[in-house]
Amino acid sequence: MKNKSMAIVFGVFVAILVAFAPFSIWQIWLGDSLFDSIFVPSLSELPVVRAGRTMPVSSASADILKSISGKATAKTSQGKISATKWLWTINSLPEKSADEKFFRTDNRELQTLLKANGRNYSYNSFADNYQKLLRDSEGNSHYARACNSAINSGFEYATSCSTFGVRFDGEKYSKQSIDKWNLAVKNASDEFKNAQIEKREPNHSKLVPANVYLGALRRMAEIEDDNTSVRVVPLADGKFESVVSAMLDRKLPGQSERILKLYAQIRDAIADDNQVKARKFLVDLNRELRNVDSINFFKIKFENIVNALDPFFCGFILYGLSMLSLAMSAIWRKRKESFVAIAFVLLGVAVVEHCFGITARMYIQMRPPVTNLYSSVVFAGLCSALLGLVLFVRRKVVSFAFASSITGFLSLLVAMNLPYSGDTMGMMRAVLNSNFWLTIHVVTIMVGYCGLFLAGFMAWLRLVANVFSRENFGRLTSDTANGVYAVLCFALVFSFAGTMLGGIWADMSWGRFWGWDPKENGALMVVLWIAGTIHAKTLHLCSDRIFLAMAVLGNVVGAWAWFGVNLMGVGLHSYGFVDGGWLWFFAFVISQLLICPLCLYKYSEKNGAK
Amino acid sequence: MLSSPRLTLVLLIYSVLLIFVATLAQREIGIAHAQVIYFEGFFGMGKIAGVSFPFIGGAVIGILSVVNIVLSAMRFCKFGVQGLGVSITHMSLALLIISGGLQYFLRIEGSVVLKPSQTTDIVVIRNSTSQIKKLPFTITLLEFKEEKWSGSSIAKSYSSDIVFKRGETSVRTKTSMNNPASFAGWTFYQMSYGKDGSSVLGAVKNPARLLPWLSVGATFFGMMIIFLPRVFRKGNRYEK
Repeated sequence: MKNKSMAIVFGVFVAILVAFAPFSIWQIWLGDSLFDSIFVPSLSELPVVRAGRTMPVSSASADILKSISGKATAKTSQGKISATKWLWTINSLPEKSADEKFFRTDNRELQTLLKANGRNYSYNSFADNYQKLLRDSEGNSHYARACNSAINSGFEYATSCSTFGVRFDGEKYSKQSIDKWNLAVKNASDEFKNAQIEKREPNHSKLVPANVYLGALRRMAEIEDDNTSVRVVPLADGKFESVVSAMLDRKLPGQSERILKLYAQIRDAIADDNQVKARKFLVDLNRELRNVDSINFFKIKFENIVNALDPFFCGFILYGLSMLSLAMSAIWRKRKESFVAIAFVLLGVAVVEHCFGITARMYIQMRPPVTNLYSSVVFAGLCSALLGLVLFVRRKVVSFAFASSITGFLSLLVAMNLPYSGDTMGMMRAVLNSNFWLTIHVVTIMVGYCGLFLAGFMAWLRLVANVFSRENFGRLTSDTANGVYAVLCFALVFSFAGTMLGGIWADMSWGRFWGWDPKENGALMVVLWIAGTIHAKTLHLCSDRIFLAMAVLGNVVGAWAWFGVNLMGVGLHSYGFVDGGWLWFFAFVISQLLICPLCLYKYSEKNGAK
Repeated sequence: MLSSPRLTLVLLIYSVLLIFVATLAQREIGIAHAQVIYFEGFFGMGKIAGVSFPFIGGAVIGILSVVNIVLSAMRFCKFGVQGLGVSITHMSLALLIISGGLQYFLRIEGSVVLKPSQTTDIVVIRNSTSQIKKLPFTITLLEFKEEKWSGSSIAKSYSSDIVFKRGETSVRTKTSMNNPASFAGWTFYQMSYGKDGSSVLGAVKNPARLLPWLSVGATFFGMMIIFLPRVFRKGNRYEK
C-alpha cells in the first residue's frame, strides 16, 4: 500500500515535470525574453493575420518555419531559436540569415544541387540556382516536384523577410525607407502640382526617386501570396494589410501609419542589437494596437500561451512514459502494482493535456474539434484514450490502459508528422463552413473511428500477450473479447450515425444521399466491418480468439477509410492528400496483419500453450 | 438457408471486399462508371491493374441482404426491450436498402447554368450530353455572389439570388452552399460557378427523398433501444 502511494506521488511529480517542460525550457533557458516571454509583453504576442485568420506572431512564424523547414524551431550558428525570434531575425538581418541553412528538402538530387548540409540548405544557395530550379521544375518527376516546392519555399521566405519592415537598396533602416518613400511621393506630387500651375512639363529628375521606390514596392507586392503573406498593419475596418501593401496605400489612416512605423523601428532596433530601444518601441506599438477595436487581445494572448505550453507534445511524451511504465509492470512482476499506478497517473495527465489542447483549439477557432485531417487524428486519439481510461478504471484490465496509451501516443505521433499543409486551424472553405454539420457529421464519425481503433488495439495486445502467457489465458481472452465487444458496439452506433448523417448533409448540400465517393465507401466499409464483427460474436459464429482477430482487422479497414482513401487522391473528400504516406500506411497494415494468425494459438490443459 | 446467420456474416464481409475493390477501380474508371458496374449491376467482370476477375454485384447483395434481414428477424424474433430494438433496427435497415434501390429508379439529377438576369426552364441531365428535361416553371438568376475570408483567397460562401415563376406565381429566394432552395418538387443546390459571373445550380427531383432520412432515424432509434440499457446496466458484464 505504501509502495502504491509512493508510486502515485512519483507519477504526479513526473507528470507535472513533463507537462511544463517545453514551457519552462523556453521561458527560462532557450528563449529570449524580448521575443518569447509570456510574462512581460513580447514580440511573440503581437496580432497579425495570415490566410484570413488573426493570430499571434508566434503562430504565424511557426507556420512559415514549418512550411520551409518542417520544424517549429530554427537552428542557427548561434544555437536553437524560437520561430518568433527567427522571423524577426530574418527581417532585421536578412544578409546574415541568407547563409543559414533553414530550408529543408528530402530529394537527394536537389540536396546535391543546393549543396545541402544533410537535408538543409540556405537561401543563398537557392537564389544562386534559381534559374536552374525554374527550368527543372517542369514535369511531374519527384525531382521536378521538389524543385517546385523549393521555389515556393524560397518565395515564401523572401516575402517573410519584409514582414515587419521594408528596406530599399542602399538603406540600412526600414524607418528611413518609409520616410524616404513618403518624401519622394510628396516631392513628386508637389512637382506635378507646380508643373500644372506653371503650365510646363514636370521635371523628370524630381520624379525619379518616387518611381524607383514604387518599382521596388510593386515587385515585392507581386510575389506576395494571399494565403501565405503575414499582414501586420490593422486598418480601421478590421482588415489587416501587409507592410508592402500598407506603404503602397496612399490613403492609409493615421493610426495604421503609426503602427507601420513602429514595426519598422522595432525591426531597426533589433538590427542594431539594441534591445532596450526595441522594448521601448514595443510598448508604444502595444499602446497603438490597443486602440484598434476589432482585435480580440485575450484570444491572441491565450493562443500564444498555448503555443508556449505545447500541450500535444507534452501529451505525447506522457503517453509514451505511461506505455513504458506499463511495459515495466509486465516485466518486473514484483512491482507490478506500483508501475501500473504510475502509468495510470501519467495516462490521466496525458489525457488532460490532450483534452486541454483540443479545447484550446476549439476556442481559438470557434469551431467543432474536427475540421481537417490533423484535427481528426488528434481528436480520435483523445476519444480512444479517454474511453480506454474509463474502461480501465471500471474493469481493472491492464491491457485496456495499454491500448489507451498506444492510441493516444500514436495519434499524436501521426498528427505531429503529417506533412505540413498550412495552418491547422485555417479558415474553412465554403462547403465546410457550417459548424452544425461539421459537429454532427465529422465529430460523430471520428468518435466511431476512435472506438474501432481502441477495440483493435485492445484485441491486438491480447493476442500478442497470449503468446507470452505461461498460464491458461482462456478467461483473460474472454474478458478482453467482452471489452472489445462493448467498445465495438459503441463504435458501431457512432460510425453508423456519423456516416448516415454525412448522407443527410450531402442530400442537403448536393441533393444526393449517397454518391459512392471513396471516403463514403471507406466509412461504409467501417460500419459493415464492425457490424460483421459484432454479429460474428452475437450469433456465436466464431471463437473469442477469431473475434479478436476480426477486431484487429478492423484497424486495417479503419486505416484504409481514414488515410488510404486520401492517399488515392480522388473524390470530394481527398482533403488530406499525404505525399509519401504510403510507406507508413503499409507498415501499419502489415503490423496488424502479422498479428492475426496468432488467433490460432490456443491453450490446452494437457499440453499447456500451443 | 436464407435466414442463416452465416449468410449474414458472409454478406457483410463480402460487401466490405466489394466496396474495397470498387474503390480501387474508381481510380481507373471514375466514380460514376464504377458505380454502374460494381454497385448497380448483378454480376460482372471487374478489371484492376490489368487483372480480370468475376464478381457478384451490389444489386444481388442488396436483394439478398433484404431477404436475409427480413427472414432472420422473423426467425429469431424475441420479445422484450432488446427484441424490440433488434427488430426495429433490422427492419429499418431493410427499408434503407430498399430506399437506396428506389432512388435508383425515381431520382432525376441534372444541372442548370445561368448568367445574371438569364431565365431558363431547361435542366441538363447529368452523365449525358443530349438529354434535357423541360421544367414546368422558369428560373431566373438575379445575382451570383462569391465571398472570401478577409485577408485570404479562401472562399467563405457562394450564393445565388433566384426567382421561380409558374403562371402567375413568382417566388424570390436564395440558394447557397448547404442551403438549397425548393420549388414544385425540384430542389436547387449551389454547385459551382463560371468565371463570367454565371452560377451553376444542381437540380434534383427525388420523390423518395425522405425515405432514407426516416429509415436512418428509425435504425438509430432501434440501436439506442438495444445499447442504452446496457450502458446503464449495473455490474461488470456487458453480455448475457
